[in-house]
Amino acid sequence: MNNTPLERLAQRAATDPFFLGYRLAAYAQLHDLNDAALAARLGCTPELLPTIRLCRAPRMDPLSFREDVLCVAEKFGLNRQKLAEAAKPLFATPQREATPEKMLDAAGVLLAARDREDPS
Amino acid sequence: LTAELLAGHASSAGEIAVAFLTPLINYLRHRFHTVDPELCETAAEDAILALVRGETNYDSNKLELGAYLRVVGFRKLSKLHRKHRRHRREISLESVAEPSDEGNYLQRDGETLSWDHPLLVGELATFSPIDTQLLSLMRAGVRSNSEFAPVLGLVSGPPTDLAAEVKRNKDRIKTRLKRAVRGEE
Repeated sequence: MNNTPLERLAQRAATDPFFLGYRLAAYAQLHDLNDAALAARLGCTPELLPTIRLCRAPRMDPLSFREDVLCVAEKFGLNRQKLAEAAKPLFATPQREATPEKMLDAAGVLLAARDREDPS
Repeated sequence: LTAELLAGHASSAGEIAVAFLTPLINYLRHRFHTVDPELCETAAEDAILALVRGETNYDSNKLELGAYLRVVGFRKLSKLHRKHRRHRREISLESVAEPSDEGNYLQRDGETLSWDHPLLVGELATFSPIDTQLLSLMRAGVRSNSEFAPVLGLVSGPPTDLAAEVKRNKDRIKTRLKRAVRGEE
């Protein structure tokens, strides 16, 4: 339940791809994380999550992505690597979830089709 | 914070929300105390989101950020209030005070609007000092043209001309208020 105005606003932001909250929501869903677990992974308290969710989502090109992740991580004292991991857009998530298990490798990566046998 | 917002820092949106959301909600609720508090909260949220998404043309040289957000919040609230009234006629404004004059030009659809109504407050803020004085006289129930004339700078002339000029100005003010209540520009 959302108690504070900031939490309510963060919830709205989580449905808008402009905001970091949108990507964090997808990441949390993918890894089955609740707020406490997500906060622990990012290296902050759960109380700070609404503020982080309301930050702008990092831009897509690698240099800008790095710059934006560093900006947010440094401002709020977050784990940079974990934030970068969580802030990556998960374009393929719905398709990945719908993919039959036999088409995935051990790490859950979709296997590409091949026309002929591997020469080795 | 303003500089960071204008520079496009990714963290500035979150910080602005933390710094301005609650004060803006409180301002709107206090300023428009007859309006549904939830609408005030939604309007404040809309204002913050619009600002950080760059949907508004904020110019830090013209207005400081807090004042600018109050303006945007007021506009969002006006829009929400209009929409809310259109879709939910059951909202009653009967509990608020009636204007002190006997005129009915501020009534719409059988409901009496308060002078605290966001649409009216916004319109009144744009009134010139002369129009403000004229409206005060009208609200006080003054009917004598001789009391309106000095406000309009009419010190001499035929009584018929004076009466026509006073009526023209009173009608103009009424029209402005009616348009504001209807949400027209």
